[in-house]
Formats: sequence, C-alpha cells, structure tokens
Amino acid sequence: MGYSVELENVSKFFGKTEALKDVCLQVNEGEVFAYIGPNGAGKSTTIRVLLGILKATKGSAKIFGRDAWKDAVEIHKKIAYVPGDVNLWPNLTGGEVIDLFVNLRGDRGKKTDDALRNRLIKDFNLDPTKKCRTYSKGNRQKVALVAAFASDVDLYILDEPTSGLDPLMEQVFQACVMEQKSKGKGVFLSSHIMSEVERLCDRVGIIREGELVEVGTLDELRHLTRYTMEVSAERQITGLNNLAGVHELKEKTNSVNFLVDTPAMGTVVAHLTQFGIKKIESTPPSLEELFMRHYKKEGAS
Amino acid sequence: MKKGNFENSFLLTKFILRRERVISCAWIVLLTLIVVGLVPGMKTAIDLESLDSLLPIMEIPAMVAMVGPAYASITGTFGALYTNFMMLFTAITVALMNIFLVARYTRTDEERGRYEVVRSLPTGRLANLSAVMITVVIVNVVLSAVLGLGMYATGDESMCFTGSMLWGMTNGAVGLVFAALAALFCQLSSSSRGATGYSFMALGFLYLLRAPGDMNPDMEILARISPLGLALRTEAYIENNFWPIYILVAAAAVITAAAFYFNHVRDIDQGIIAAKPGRAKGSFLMKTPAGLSFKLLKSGIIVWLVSMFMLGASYSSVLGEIDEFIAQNDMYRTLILGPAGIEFTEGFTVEQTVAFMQAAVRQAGFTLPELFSAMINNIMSLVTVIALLIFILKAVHEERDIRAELIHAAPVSRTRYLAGYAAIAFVCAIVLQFALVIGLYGVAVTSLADPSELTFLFLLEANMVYVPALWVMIGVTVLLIGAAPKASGAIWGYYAYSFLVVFIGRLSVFPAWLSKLTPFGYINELPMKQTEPLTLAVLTAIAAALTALGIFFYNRRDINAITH
Repeated sequence: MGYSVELENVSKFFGKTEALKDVCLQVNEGEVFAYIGPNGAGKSTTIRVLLGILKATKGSAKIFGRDAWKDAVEIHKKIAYVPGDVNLWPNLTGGEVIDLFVNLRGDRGKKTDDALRNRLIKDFNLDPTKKCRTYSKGNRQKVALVAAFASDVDLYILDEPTSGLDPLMEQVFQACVMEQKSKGKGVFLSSHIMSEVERLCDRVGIIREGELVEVGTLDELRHLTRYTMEVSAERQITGLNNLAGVHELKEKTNSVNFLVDTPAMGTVVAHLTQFGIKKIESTPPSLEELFMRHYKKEGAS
Repeated sequence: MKKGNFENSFLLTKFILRRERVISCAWIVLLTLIVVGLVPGMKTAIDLESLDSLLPIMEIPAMVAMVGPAYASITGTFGALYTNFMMLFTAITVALMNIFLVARYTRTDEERGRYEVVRSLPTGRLANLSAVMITVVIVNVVLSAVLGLGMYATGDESMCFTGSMLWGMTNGAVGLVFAALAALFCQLSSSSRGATGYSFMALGFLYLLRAPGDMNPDMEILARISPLGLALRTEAYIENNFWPIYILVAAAAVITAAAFYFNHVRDIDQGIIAAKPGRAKGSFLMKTPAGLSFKLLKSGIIVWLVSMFMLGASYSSVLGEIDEFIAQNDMYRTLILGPAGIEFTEGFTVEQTVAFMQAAVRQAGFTLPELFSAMINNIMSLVTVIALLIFILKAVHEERDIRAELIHAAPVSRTRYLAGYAAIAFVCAIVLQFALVIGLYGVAVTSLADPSELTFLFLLEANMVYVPALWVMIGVTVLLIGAAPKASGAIWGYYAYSFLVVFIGRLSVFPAWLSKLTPFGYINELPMKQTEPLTLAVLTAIAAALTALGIFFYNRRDINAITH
C-alpha cells in the first residue's frame, strides 16, 4: 500500500515569516490521520500546500504519489476538502453549493448520488433552501461536510471540520468518518477535539510553530510519556527516589503517588512487589495531557 | 418611539467615526484633489478665446442629457463652464460614497453579526442608525467645507467665495439625500447587497429622470424631483441659488425619518421586503466553475443590460431635432461645413442652413444623426468599461473572501477558473454594447423624420469598433489579477485616466499623445474617419496576449495571496 499524503522537507515562507519548517510526514492509504497543534502552528498552511493552493517554498508535497502543486487538478478528483472557517456565497442556497461541489468533484456525465446527498442533508439536519448569508457558522460547516461526504473520493482533507457543530452533529460527523474508514477511504483530519481524535484516528502528528514535533500511534505517543501511579502496600515503600524514571514522588502514610516513564515501568513494579502491594493503580496520560505537554513551549523535548 | 430608543447614540457615533476616519478622509481628500486639481489644468489648456468656442458644446442635447442644462452660456465664465461640466459627476461620486458609508455601518454590520453585539449593549433600538446618520451629517459637512474651500483656493476670479461654498454644499446636500435613501433601502432589503443594489438603481433612475427635464423646459418638474437635477439648479458660479439646498436637506430629513420608522418596526436580520426560500437543488449552472461565475454575476449583468438599453434610448430621443440644433451650433457647423461653408451660409435662415448642411453632409457621405449617434457610442463605451471591470474583478473578490480556494480545492484548474471570468467579461463587452445599439436604434426609428438617415448597420459599426478597446481593458485587469492581485484595484486609476483623456479630450485640451496611452485613443470615431480593421485586430491580439499572460501568472502564484 502506498502513501496518501507525503511531505518531504516542506517549508513555506510568507515574506520573511517561516510558516512551515522542513516538515516531513507520511500518511498511509486508508489511514485516518490526526494533524493537531495550537492555533497558528501551520496546520491550515500544510493543508493548503497539500491542496496546491499555496506553493511550497522548498521541499515536495505529494498526494497519492503525485505532486500537490503540478498535478492539483488530477489529485482533486480524488479528494474532498472541508475548511475550518467555511466562507460561502451569500446569495446561493446551501443546496446549490452542495450540488456545485459534488458536481465539480464528480466525473462529468456520471450521475450524482442524490439519495446519499439527501440522506446526509437529513442526518445533518440542514435546510438546503436557505441562502448561505443566513446560515450560522455551524450550518455553513454542515454544507461543506455534506458536500464532502456526498462526493465519491478516496481521501478527505478536513481542517477543524467540527468547529461550531453541536455534540449531536459531532456524532453524525464521527459516524460519517467511521463509515468512510470502513470503506477503506483515508482521512486527514486537523482537530482540537481530543475525544474525536481518540475515537477516530489511527495515527497522530503534532505540529508546533511550523515544525512537526511528534508522529505516531496514540500508544506510541503515550510510550513517550509518563503514567501516574498510585500504590498502597503493607510496608512503608522506600527507595523509589533512587530509581531512574520516577518523578514527582509524593509519600502519604500508607501509599505513594508518583509519575513514571513508560520504559521504567517494569523495574519500578518489580521494586514495589517487595513491599507487599495492596492496591496498584496506573493511569495512562490523557490525550489532553499529552497534547498540553507538546503545545506548551517549555514542554519541548 | 420612546426616548430610550436613541440611548448612547453619541457614544456609538464616536465609535463609528473611529472606524470610518480613514475611509471617509480618503474619499474626501481624493475627491477634492481630483475636482480641484482639474481646475488649473483645464484653465491653462483653455485660453479665453477658445472658452467661447467650448460653450456651444455644452448646448448639444446629448451633453445636456449627460451633464445638465447649458448654464455656462449665461455668463460664459470659466467657473460657469466648470460647474456645467463637473457638478453632476462630482455629485454622483459623493452619492456613491454616502451609499457605501451607510451600508457599511448598517446592513453589513448586521450581516456580519456586529450589530447584534451593539444591540446587546445598553444602546437604544435606533441608536445605531442614528449614530450612522450623525456620522453621515458630519462627513458631508466636512466634505462641503473642504470641497468649497478647495474650489475657492484655486483663485480664479470667476470662482467667488459664495459660489465655491455653494459648490461644496450642493455636493454635501446630495450626499445627505443618498445617504438617507441608502438608510431606507437598508431597512427594506434584508441584505447589504440588496440595499446597495436598490440604492444604485435609485441613483441611476434619478440621473436618467433629470435628463428630459434638463433638455426640455416643459418637463422641468422631472429635474426638480431628482436630487441630481436640484443640485444643478443651484447654478454655482452663475446664479448662486440656495433654495435647492433647503429642499435637498428637507428631503433627506423626511427619508431618514422613514428609515427610522422601518428600522423600529422590523426584526434584526430581517427586511421589510421578505426574502423568499431559495432553490433546494443547484441548476445546470452549478455544474461548472464558469457556470458559478455567471450565476454570481447574473443579476449585475441584467441590471447593466437594462441600463445600457435605457441610456441608448434616452439619447436617441433627441435625434428628431438634431438638424436644427446643429444648424444653430457654431462648432458643429464649422466642423461640418468648413470655414468656406460658414461664409457661404452667412445670413441664411435656420431652415436654409439645415437644407444646405444636409446637402453638404450627404455629399460627404454621411448624415447628421450618424455624426451624433457615433459620438454617443464613443462616450457610452466608457460606461460599458465600468461594468466589465466589475465583472472581471469579481475573481479577486472571490479570492479575498476565501471562496476561490473552495473551487481550486475541487478538480478545477487555475486556467479554467480565471479564463471563465475573462470569457464572461469578453462576451459581456459585445452584449452590453449591443444592448446600447438596440436602445439607440429602437428609439431613433420613431424619433427621426427620415429613418433611413441612420441605418442599423452604421450604428452597429460605430459601436462595435470599441469592443477591442474594451477587451484590452479586460486584458490589463486579468494581468493585474494574475501578476499583482493586491494592486488589481489600480485598474480604476487607469480607467479614470482613459475616461478623462477620451471624455474631456473632446474639448481638445490635452496633447494628442496622451490619448495614445489608452486603447480608446486608437479607435477611429465614425463617420468622419474610417474603421481600421488592422488596428482593431492588433488591439484584439493585445487583449488576448494580456489575458493569457495574466492566466500564466495566476497559475504560478499562491491563492489567497491577497490575504497574506
């Protein structure tokens, strides 16, 4: 299987500001990939380079093995894009915009799937007869989502697609992504909603200040960080201070609380058994903690 | 209306003035610079002797229809000529400024959700509108003063202080009326686009309405109904009438009151004219990028088509009396008969002169209505350009509003997208010009005693010769869009230059080479000169090359480059 998205040392300058710095990234075909990072980190710039809307100053960006800039038109037949802040034509109706996008993406001459379109409009609870100027942000987002999922494509590029959606619609969205995933379609999802990322994504890439700081599965990312341990034992637990990989140790009367690096877990647990463990609780770092660590400047490792 | 309705109006006024200061100052300064700046230029170009020969031009019915009654002939001073020539266009520019100003702080704010925030604060229901109208008054008073003082500062002895201040006040008063009209339409329509659209239509209608009143004293009332007709009747530097100012200000007050009433009774985000539900499905236009572009431009194209037809028809309505008119006009007589002919017709009655002239032009191979209608075609092609530039610049506006990227994210090439807009503009050049011909010819047939004096084919040729020049203007704009999108608005500067050189150039005040810097300078006006197919072919090739070059650059740059 090939790569759906391939970035090689991609840099992008706007004047003197470097929005992307040597970004390297591969996303497998059929994979749901989360692209996360704080505001202004370069997520949308990466996506626009992938769409051939911005030209990379340096490096190469490929989708399905083709050059994102040169072969933009051919590539776009196989992808659907939903921006984070959808600007629509104020004097067109939502229904017209959906048909426009589906028609432009579809093969000419091939009939569009009206049943699917209408089902999605119903699922997302959208009134297609209203002019776009009257839509709220959430409704404009729905127009773009319906148009994307009603198109027959191989890769969905979604830039914070659920900002402005209510929790009910968030569920509809997740169901749509799961459905596409089960059909073997790929999704490149930029998001701030951790539960969404946790539920949907196979792999995660974290970008900060234009640099890709981490890529991997959630498990792999967790591996890089610390579990919270809470242990109570028959005897007073001692000697933890001297073990490598133990941090922020807090001793209470009958129990201890500390953070442990994942690789040191085995040694630590072996050490603990000699005190007669009564209860042991280990909590993996929440996604939130994981991201906060990377989002914050001082957390850079 | 309760007293609390206006709560905090003054605070909001300060806020609006703060947001507005740059735009309004730029309008006022630029307008004053252009209007006042033209004075010394025109004065050096016209010495007093040729001033007398310019006055008859103002009496040509087409000129009266365009710029107002020939008041200049009453005193025959430079100031009078300047008022005659510039007052109406200045007033229209001020009207446009006011329409944009009002729409920006009422409907646009409402559409973007900013008005809602203002209403959530302890402000009165009508406070925003009253703040906008107070701003309008301030802006127009400043404009009146700056423009008036600017005119006086030119130091021409025929431009007295009273007349200069009246010049400024007339424009300010017209501004107030159109600001009030725009405020009213902002209540009636539920969108900013609709409101400005209605306001432009009103402006166009009131401009046309005064034309018959200016041309025919029996229809004077039509000119006095129109704010633009009233503006002309101040006769600054001639009679210096102040009464039209009072009427204009009173009209503005009444219309503003109506706007307040409708603002009070309507709901937020709604208009008095209800918006009807739209299509649930896209039509065939939603299948291609060019279809979308056409759909976005459609209503504009229709409005322009109707306007061109109407303008053509209104000019043609004076063709019936064109013979007598030209017989009485020194300049045209000289132009047509030559000095020897003038000498020969010395002492002729008007009827004899007409008969002689008709014989003379027949010998030269053309007719008087041909001469006149060809001139109209020349001037009107400059109006067509405005429409075409608006159409092609839509491509930039789509990009600025981050909608072009939605289309480029679909499998639509850059070439296909921009070429679509260019193609629409190119076709519209022909179609709009044709609408003008139809309007001109349709009425000419009925108003001419002998319709065979003006054939359809002649009119068509006299009109279509300008199409290659129009295409070059489109080509230059496409090049700007491709190569320097942030500067694409500069095309309006080039347009203003072309307009001045071609329109004011009729008075032969500029050196000839200046007209060669605009495509219009290369087009031969019928029937005095012959059409040069080679020149037209070269212009067409230049237009095509510019367009291709623009698309070439568009393919090589970032989309949304305007926003970065």
